[in-house]
Amino acid sequence: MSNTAHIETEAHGHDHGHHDHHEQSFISKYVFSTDHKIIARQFLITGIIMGLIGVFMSILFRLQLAWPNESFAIIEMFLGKWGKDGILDPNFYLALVTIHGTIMVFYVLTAGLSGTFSNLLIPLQIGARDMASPFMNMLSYWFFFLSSVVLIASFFVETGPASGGWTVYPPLSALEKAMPGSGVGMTLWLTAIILFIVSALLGGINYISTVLNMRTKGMAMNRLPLSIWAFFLTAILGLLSFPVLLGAGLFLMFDRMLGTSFYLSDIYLNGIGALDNVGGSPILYQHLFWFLGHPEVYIILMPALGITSEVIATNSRKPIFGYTAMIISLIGISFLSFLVWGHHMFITGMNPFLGTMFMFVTLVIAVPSAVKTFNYLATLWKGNIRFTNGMMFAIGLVSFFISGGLTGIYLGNAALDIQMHDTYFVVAHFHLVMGCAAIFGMLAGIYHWFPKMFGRMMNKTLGYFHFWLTFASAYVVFFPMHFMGLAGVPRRYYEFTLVPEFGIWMDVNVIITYAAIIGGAAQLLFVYNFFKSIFFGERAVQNPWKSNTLEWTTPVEGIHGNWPGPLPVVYRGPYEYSVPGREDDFWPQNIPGDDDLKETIKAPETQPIVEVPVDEIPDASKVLFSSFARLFGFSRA
Amino acid sequence: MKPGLKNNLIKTLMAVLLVTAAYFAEPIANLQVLPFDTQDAALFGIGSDEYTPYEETTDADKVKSWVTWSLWIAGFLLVIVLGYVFDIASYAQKITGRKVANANKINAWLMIIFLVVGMAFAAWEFIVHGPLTKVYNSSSEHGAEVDSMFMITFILTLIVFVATQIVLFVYAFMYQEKKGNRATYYAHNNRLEVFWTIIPAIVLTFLVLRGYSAWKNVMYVSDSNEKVQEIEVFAYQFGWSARYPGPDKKFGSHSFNYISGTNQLGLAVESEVEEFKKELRKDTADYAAKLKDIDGYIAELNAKIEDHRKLANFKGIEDVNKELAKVRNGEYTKELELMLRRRTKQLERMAVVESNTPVYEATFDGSVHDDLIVKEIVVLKGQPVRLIFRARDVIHSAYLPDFRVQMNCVPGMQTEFTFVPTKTTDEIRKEKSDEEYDYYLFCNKICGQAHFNMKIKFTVVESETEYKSWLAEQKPAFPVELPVKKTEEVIEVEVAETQHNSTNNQTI
Repeated sequence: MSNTAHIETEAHGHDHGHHDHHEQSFISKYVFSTDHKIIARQFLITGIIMGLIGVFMSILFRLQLAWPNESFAIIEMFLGKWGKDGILDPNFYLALVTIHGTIMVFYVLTAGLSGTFSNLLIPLQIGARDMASPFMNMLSYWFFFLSSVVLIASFFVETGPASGGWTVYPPLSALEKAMPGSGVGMTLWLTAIILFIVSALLGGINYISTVLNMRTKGMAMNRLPLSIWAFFLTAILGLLSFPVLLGAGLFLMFDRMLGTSFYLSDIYLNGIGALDNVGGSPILYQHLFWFLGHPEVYIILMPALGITSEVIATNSRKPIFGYTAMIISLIGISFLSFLVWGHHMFITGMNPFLGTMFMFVTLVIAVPSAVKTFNYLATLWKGNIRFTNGMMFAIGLVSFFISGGLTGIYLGNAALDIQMHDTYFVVAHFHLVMGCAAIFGMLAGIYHWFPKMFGRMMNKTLGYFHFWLTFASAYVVFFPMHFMGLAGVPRRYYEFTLVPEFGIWMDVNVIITYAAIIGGAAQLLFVYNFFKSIFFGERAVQNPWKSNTLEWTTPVEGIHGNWPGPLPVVYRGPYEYSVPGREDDFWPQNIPGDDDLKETIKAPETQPIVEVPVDEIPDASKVLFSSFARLFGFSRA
Repeated sequence: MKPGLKNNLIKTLMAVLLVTAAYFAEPIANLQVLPFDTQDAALFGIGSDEYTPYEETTDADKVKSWVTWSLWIAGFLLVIVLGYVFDIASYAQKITGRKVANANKINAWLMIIFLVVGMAFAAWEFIVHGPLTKVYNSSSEHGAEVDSMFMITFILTLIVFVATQIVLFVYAFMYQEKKGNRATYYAHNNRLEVFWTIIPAIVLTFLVLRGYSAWKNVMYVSDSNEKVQEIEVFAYQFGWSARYPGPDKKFGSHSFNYISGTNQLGLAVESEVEEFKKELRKDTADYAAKLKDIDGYIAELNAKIEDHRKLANFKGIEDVNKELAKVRNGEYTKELELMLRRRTKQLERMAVVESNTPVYEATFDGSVHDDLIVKEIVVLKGQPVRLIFRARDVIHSAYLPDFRVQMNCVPGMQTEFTFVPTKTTDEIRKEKSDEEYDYYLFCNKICGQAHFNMKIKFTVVESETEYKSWLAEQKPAFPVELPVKKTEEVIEVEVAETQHNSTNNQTI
């Protein structure tokens, strides 16, 4: 408590314009910090560590897939009894697959991506001193941290971590005796996810209210950078869909612990006999799960697309093509993402009519995605492209988004899905469009905003090596998987040697594994570069990429309250690059043009700038009410 | 000290620290912590990991472990060295003031090289792995439609794929930063945007309509087709079994309540069910007795410990201690109570059916006696097959890639898929010029440890006589009601007779 109190007095100091720095203790400054910039770094570093764990897991199970039943010392070294004699246990293979998916989807690409950049950029790019509720923001991170700890802890229980696939379909995940991973490990998984949802909701409420209420003077909704639009819509998606997963998870908990029958019916289990659960439906879980699960895909992807819009525009030195169209397609994607969950369930025995409906909506969602892609290409056209590390990753994202997005057209087609469902084709599809694209968006963001986060630059050359190795190896890993899938090779198989028909894919598996190891090793380059640059990187200048957005008007060292003086005033949209008639090829949002100045002279100080105090935790009902008012009013200026 | 030198010094120190840490981490990783009192440890849940006696590591192991470690360290050092090299290059650039290389230009060229190499790789994939896929030459009637749907989608997406990737990388190359160049200020063009909203919309509408008609034809198959051969496919951890309705073309009813050791599918066979009920009653009595005599069980376990102690069987002691801990913390009682409840409820559910005469008669109507339970599915070419799916424990998915058939098997819910096989096993063997090739029905939904080996052979035969003779070879699982007590000889004779009868029936 004393820490919080301390921070509050500290913050007050800023509001009244006193910039004498009280010494903050290490704990209140870096651990239980309420400063959005520190929280962003916390999210990022936790995300990176979780990401490394996730990638490492994938390499362990890739070893098994490429050389089944061969002994690897590394497997025994890390997995102990689950890798006796260096051979991966089949149950643990499933556990690795499951936790790899969970970590990547939730911990890296949801919290690590959205958590980092929403926290960092929302206040900085809209011109606010901090989040609407810094304290809730801090809680959001610590719930996420706790959730990560619980998930990793599940590796150290006797029966191993959850292993029913990252979607944890019951009855497999509901019945303790169905597989070892459905024991304590599954309970821990559910606990971790519930904590995660709490974290996501705390964060999401904050992002929404900050964007709606705390924009600086002149920052109308139609002058927001696309990244902020993406974070804002992502937060709305999360807020609407995560509670459904919470419900699904709690029901599953009840089925496991209290003997309820939400998802269970007519089950006979080997070694136990007939269970007494009657009347539930396993399909109910799938509906609930995918009601989150599909928006979740966009929760992952949209921030990456937002970041990319920002990075591509800045480094092409051109306005993003079709700003309004980009916003409309984001809104379209957000809306439609709630209507397509059934395409994960075409062959569950769901009524074929429902399948038809879901197919229609799913293919409709391809239209806004296509518009986004074409707009990116149009932005590159006649640009003056600087290949910064961030830009390279942004271009990589577009490439992956195309490759992975196109295969979505196959999978969204119910008739084709019969053949492709749950095969390697699906694995290839979502790894490209959601995995690689989103992680490239995240990396683009890291390289681009590293100077803002740490006040130093990352090593450019290492960044290039990182990019090309990752880009090439990702394609070599996932492209051949399409063909495996089309040949009917099912995913989540421990080995293919027991099915003669799949023997032809063994050499492909070896190639994929080599590429995966190279890709994994390339991430070490990144990690080295990242952590080295935090301490020893070249010092950054205030606006290293010559960008328009407000975050580059703050001091390099990143002070509490973001701007030393009054908040900047915004005069135009964020993408006014290479405006004809101007000497510079960029025009920061806060630098007035001649016309803007005339206006100011006409009406001096009619609307005094009201600074929102940093420490004030607004009353929840007020925030909600004014949020709606602002949303419909659309403009703050 | 110069800052650059200082940085390098710190980096070297870091590397040394890492190597040292790795050196010390090795013995720590091998350390085994043994609880000194296993009994107490088990009670508190400590040391619940399986106890393995400490093994002396051999020299070979040590060498192996050292090799692994040094590989790891070498890998990491390589990364750091790479970092040094690049740093030196950038320092050199700064000192000399000359650009060593124009990174922008190099990367722009790399973009083009990547495009060319990437497209070549993609083409290689299409040529080498394309023919191995199952997107053409389907072995079923509806499969042909699915395949043509695939081809249309493939051609359209391939065009878009190649075009957009080329545009992406070529633009990246063409519009790389050049001195004195300035980007064109071009923020939007409504006509262009409308154009590329409408074109995808039209193409997708076309695909949706095509897909809808294919989907409709696959899914909505008339139920009243007399010619359809119905086969029930039953999924369990980890295998499949299949049931043919027999000559009466009617499946006997089933329930998960009736599943027993001798009646794996839970069919409504009166004699089996009666036997099973006895078993269940015995179970309930057992559990109840065990629940009453917890103290006796503890005494028994303690006696066991004494026995093991005499034989110095530590593994045994550990196991018994675990069991003892379970008894003491109430887990054992809870488990027994749960089992008791399960059995009681099961008996109750069975009683409900029995007390309701119409339901009982409908369930035990005798149609089960000619049902054939088989370990391999055989169907006739050209005859529609309806696979009716049931699952016993968790969700499975029946996947027949050659026939473009897939459907989930969900416990507590019946699903089905109707299709017409058009290619016999012999034909596909000839086509693939692989004498060993067989159709299989795979499990394609994660279902546990042996998920990867859960399959059943699926054979398509050419002629009706071949099919009938195979059917005739199959024995009904529960021929007729057997009187409860009979000598083995009599049973054998009877089985032989019924078989004979059923064969006759089928050939007629």
